[in-house]
Parts: sequence; structure tokens; C-alpha cells
Amino acid sequence: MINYFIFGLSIASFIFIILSLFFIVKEKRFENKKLKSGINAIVFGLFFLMLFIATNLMNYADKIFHEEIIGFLPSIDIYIDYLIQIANLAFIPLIPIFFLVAMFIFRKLK
Amino acid sequence: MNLELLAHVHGFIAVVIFIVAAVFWSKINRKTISKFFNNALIITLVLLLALPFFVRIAFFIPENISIIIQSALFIVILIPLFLVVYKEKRKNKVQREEDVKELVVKKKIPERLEFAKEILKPEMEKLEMERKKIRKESSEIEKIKSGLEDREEDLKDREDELNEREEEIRERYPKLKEEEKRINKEKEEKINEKYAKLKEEEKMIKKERKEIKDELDMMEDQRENIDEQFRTLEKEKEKSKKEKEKLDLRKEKIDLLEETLEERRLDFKEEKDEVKKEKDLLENNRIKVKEKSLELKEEREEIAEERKKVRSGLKELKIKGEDLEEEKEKLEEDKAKIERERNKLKKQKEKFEKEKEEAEIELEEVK
Repeated sequence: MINYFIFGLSIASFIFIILSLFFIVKEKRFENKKLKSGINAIVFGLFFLMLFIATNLMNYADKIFHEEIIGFLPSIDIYIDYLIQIANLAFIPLIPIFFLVAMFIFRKLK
Repeated sequence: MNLELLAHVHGFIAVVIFIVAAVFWSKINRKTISKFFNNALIITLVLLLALPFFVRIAFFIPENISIIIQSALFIVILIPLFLVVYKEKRKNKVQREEDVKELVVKKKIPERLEFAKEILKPEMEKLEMERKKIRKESSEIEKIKSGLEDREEDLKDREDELNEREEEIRERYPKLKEEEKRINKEKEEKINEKYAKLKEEEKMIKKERKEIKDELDMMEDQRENIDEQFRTLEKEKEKSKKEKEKLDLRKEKIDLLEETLEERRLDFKEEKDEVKKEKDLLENNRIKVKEKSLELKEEREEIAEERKKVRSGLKELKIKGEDLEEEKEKLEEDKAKIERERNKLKKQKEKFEKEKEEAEIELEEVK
């Protein structure tokens, strides 16, 4: 039951972050040129956050529909383990790094 | 380092970086940022995404609850982020539309008028051209449509004709069916006849095949029997060959044993002759010793007589007696030696006797 709940929340998060990214990228062309690189950094940070949420989503999808998935992907558990490791080791530190870069860029604005 | 520990450390680092970014954001002057950025709330919300990562590294929260809180926080932050971004987009769009309207409607501003003339007018002309093209195309389509309607009418006429023909065919259909039945019957009869003939032929063929098969089986059995006999013969042949080899080996062994026995017999004979010779020699010696002892006895008697006769030459006699004593001792020693040799010969003889008996037993066993 908890797995279903978290899976639902992850799907909603995934959808909202994709929509947010879509609108931010679309609006970027109308923004000030000085801001563009900062917004790009924020977009990259959000992109890695989206990847992190996608990894969580896949993990919970595997937990819920394990029997169905393992039929056509027998080594799904190994893939998911690797994905989680990559997310924990690479995506999580990259998210705040990009935000910090954006802050540095905004700081130089006068 | 353990990967889980490394992941935990990365989580800590991420949170620290988030805090640093938040501090930077708080120190940035809002007035300056508002010049460039319409809605700074987006950045604040983006930085609020650090909260799930705070919960993630909080060791005092149980893992299950932590995951739920993280997911909930993500959704709680991402929904307002989406709403703010969407609202911002709408607001900007309305703003841009108003700007464009101003450009078109208010002609007083020379730059805007120029923009309308230089950029919008050619675009409008292009659009007008395209509209004309579309009109032309629509008139062409109309023509094609009318052509298609004509063709449709023709097709309807043809359909009516076809319907009439179909009715005719329906009328003819029972007759044709009867004829078909008759033809089918005839065909069936012919086929049945042919089938009966074929069945008879098949039976004959089956019979012949069975006979051939039986014959083939017989031949196969015979062949197998012959093969088996041949195999048994081969086996017996091999057996006899092996036995023959064994016998030859035995024969060779017996020959060798016979040869060795013959040699041993000859050796034994020679040894026996030698022993006989030695025995004869010993016998001669004993006789000689006996003779000598007799002689000595006689001499002793003579001496005793002489002793009696010649008391005066006691000294001489004493000396002679001593010499005689020495000789006697020597003879005794010789006698003892001869006795030892005789014992030795006796032992050798017994040994040869034993060997002879053993050889005879072996010979008998071999025979």
C-alpha cells in the first residue's frame, strides 16, 4: 500500500517537474540575456532532479509490477540497483552544484 | 569505501551545497534581481527542493517514513513551482500580446510604426498571398468535388445495372444448382469407382509390401544369425589363439626347466663323483692311518721289549720315547683333521641328497 502511495507521488512529481522544465525552457528565450546562463544552470539542476525522481519511479514500479517486468527483463533488479547507485552517487550532488552555479551567476548581476 | 557510506556522504555534501546556495540567494539584492527577473519566487521554490534531501540524511527518522516524507515534500514543492512557472508564462504571454497590439494600433510612436511597416506589413502581404492560394486551391477542390459527384452518379447507375444482373442470376441460380448437383453426383460416382479401384490396388500393394517386408525380415534374421555365428567363430578363434600362446609359453617354460634340471643333474653327478673320489681318498688315508697305528703299536711293543732289554740306554730310549710321543701327537692331530673333513663331507652329501630330492619333486611337478 505504501509502495503504491509513493509510486503515485513519484508519478505526480515526475509529471510536474517535466511540465515546469518545459515552461521554463519555453520562456527562457524571452528572458534577459544576462540571466540566460543562470537559468540554464537551474534547468540542468532540475533536469538531474527529474532523473533522480525517474530513478525512484522505476524502483517503485519494479517493486509493484515485479512479476510482470521480470518476464521480459530478467535482470531488472541489477539494473535498478545500478541506477539507484548512480542516482545516489552522481545525480544528488549534481543538483545543488548546478543551483549553486546559478546563484554565482545571479550574484554578479548589477 | 563502502558504496552506501559514500552515497550517504554525497547526501551530506549535497545538503551543504544547498545551504550555501540558499545563503547566496538570500544575500543577493532583490531590487537588482527584480530588474532582470520577473518572479524570484521560482528560484526560492527551486532552492526549497533541498528539503527532501534534508529529510533524506536525517538519521533519526525511520527509513519508511523518510521515503514517504521525501516524496510528499517533492510533490508539495513541485506543484507550486509548476503553478508559478505556468502563471508567469501566461502573464508574460499577455504582456507580449499587449505589446504587439500596441505596436499595431498606436501609430503615433515612430519606432513602432516603422516596425509595423517593415516587419508586419510584409508578413501581412505574405499572409494575403497565401489566403489567395488557399482560395484557388479550394475552388479547384470544388471542381474536383463536382467531378466526383458525377462519377458517383455513374457508379450508382452501374450499381443498379449490377443489381438487375444479380436478380437475373438469382432467378437462374436454382437451375444452376440442380445442374451442379447432377454434375456433382456423376463426378462423385466416378470418383467412388476410382476410389474403390485405388483401394483394391492399395490393398494389393500393401500385401506385396508386407510379403517383401517379411522376406526382408527373414533375410535380416539370417544375416544376423550369420553375423552372430561369425562373431562366435571369431571369439573361439581368438580364444584358441590365446590358449595356444599360453601352451607355447608353458612348453617353453617346461623346456627351460628340463634344461636346467639336466644341467643340475649333470652338475650333481659331477659333484657326486668328486665326493666319491674324496671318500675313496679318505678311506685310503684311514687305512694308511690304521696301518700306521698298527705299526706304531708294533713299534711300541718293540720299544717296550727293547726297554726291557736295554735298561742301560734309558736316556736314549727316553729320547726316542719323546720323539715317538711327538709323532703320536701329530698323528692324533691328523686323525682329528681327517675326522672333521669326514664330517664336512657327510654334511655335503646330506645337502646334495636333499637337493636331489627337491629337484626330483620339481621334475615330477613339472611333468
